[in-house]
Amino acid sequence: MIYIHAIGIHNTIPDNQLPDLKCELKALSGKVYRRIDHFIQLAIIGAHKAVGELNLSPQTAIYMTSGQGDIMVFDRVRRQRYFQKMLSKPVDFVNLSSNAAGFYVASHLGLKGKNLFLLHHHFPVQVTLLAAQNALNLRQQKAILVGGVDEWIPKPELAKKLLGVDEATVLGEGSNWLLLKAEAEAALATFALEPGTLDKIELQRLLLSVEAGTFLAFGSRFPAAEVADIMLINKGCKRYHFEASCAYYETLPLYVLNRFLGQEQGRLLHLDVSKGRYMVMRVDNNT
Amino acid sequence: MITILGGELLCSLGDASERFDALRTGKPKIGTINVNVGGAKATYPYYHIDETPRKSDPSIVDSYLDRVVNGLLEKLKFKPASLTNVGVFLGSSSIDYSLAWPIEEDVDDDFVARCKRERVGGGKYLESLMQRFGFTGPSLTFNTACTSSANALMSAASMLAGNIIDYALVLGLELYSPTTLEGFAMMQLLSPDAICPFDKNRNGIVLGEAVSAVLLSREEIMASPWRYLGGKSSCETYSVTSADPSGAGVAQVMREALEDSGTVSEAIIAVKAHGTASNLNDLAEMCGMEQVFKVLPPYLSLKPYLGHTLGGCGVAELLLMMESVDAGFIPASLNCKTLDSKFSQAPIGNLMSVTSGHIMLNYFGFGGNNTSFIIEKTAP
Repeated sequence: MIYIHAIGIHNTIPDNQLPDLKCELKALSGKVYRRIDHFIQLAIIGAHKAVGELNLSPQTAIYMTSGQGDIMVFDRVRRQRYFQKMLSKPVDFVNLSSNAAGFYVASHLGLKGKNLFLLHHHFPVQVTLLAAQNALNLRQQKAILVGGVDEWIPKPELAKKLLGVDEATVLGEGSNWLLLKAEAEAALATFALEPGTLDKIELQRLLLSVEAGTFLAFGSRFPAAEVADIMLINKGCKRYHFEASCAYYETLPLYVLNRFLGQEQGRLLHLDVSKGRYMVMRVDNNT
Repeated sequence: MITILGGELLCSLGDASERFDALRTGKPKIGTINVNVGGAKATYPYYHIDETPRKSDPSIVDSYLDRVVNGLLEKLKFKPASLTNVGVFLGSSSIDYSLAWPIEEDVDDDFVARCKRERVGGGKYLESLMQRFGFTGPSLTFNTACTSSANALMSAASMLAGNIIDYALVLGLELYSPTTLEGFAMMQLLSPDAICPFDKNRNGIVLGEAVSAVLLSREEIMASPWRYLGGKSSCETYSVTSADPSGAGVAQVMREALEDSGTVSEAIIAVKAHGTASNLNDLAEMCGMEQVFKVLPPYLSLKPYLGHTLGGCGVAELLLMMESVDAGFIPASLNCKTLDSKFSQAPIGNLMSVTSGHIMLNYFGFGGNNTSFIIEKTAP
């Protein structure tokens, strides 16, 4: 069993304009940062909201994930090279490697532990949490700060195509973090993740064992009809609605967990699906 | 105990017998590449896998990944279907290749209309590889700059230790990228002539390509004379582009790797240094080694053989070390003609006869990433 000790939410629905995060970052952290871009600002803000006021062990690891990483700097560098025929700035070249964001988060929080930037095509949040859960269970790490960061891209029409979502989808941005430890003392909640992907029958079997009163949250890719079927079969469960409070980004599941823990009391099962395979996360702040 | 079952490597050194010759004789093949730096054309040494044009087309990357995975499975006499409960891990500093194509195509107003509604992103290469080979276990793509595939390997070992998977296929990927090459040239980090790790006159890195695959398991599933004993990864925040030249951060990760692997420093028979030949990184690495070892073990850099393969070097250099020791030697560290006077001991100057023992492998990268792990080849 592993435990959630802190949560931080930064979640916005931009109104066709990239949010200016400079002032927010300065107000939050009291520091002025140079050589960082929007993606890195976003990462620091979310991490600071989770643990900025805590006295973390310097050995705390950072496992950060994202759907597309620092895509705006990537786009800028490519455009400068191919269309404007000019050299990109050294700072942009360094920040191209999305793990630069992890460096600045570590620097901001005074951390020296393992610092990973991880990606997965379907389940970036769940597989990152799987790696963290395993490292904590093996006592390879004592504490891991897990973050999901996705920035809003100013060309929404193109962005939606590259994200593979339909035109009606509203895009958002977020930086949501949680602090995981193997120790229970002073924890906010327990966390557990089914270690593999499930097929539909395995998911149904798992849902049969769910206690009455459990909240169910569904990932953005869940077909509405399937959600309705699951809720019909599992009448003792309550649907956890979060959809009106956010727009689409790929690390949204971290927002959902954190929002639940900030607002509700109880057990939550977060179900997500991609290409007929399911992943299930469970948080519980009852005890 | 985590076992290393074997690997497959594509790099500038050629096939296995050509690699053996180059490592034994100390005569690698080196090519050149033209780079446009702010309108000025420059030619730099470069280690190409082959002469195939490298357009920003994801299918080119897929084809190299398929070659190493097929080659590895053939070598180990595995069929993909027989490799059950396998996790797949990829490390690369250039995972954005999949985005390069659509963004480079975005040259006219019709592009958005033409663009397919299909998700691209850093996890795409593994996703399509998993589909082609029918693997269904967990997968993760790592971008931690030059430590990417070393971190992928360490996380794979962790998943094996946690019994989440029974096999781990770990891939290292680094192919030519004009953005990367020009970025390093712009930062004046490229050597105009040769890569000379630990030499007094070292003047920068030489980039190269490598695509590699290694298969890990646990002792009770499949034994091997090669074992992964443990390692550590950390982040030092001295600078986003270099390690602390005092060697403090580098020394710390090496000490922790020894502790994690249950190895005393005296048991290390050789250190595969990161050895990029950049002024500050070689200094940090040497200072770090001198703090960890009372008597410095023989050490070498493999980068004069295959270039700095960035995120791919974790697996590629591991495989070159294993191939060398399997052939009974550790290769000489090339191009250190005059040792930097700040260093106490020169790298390995001549072939060293080795058939077994504990070896430390070090990797350091942008973003403050320091990684060190220990492998062992057991005596026959």
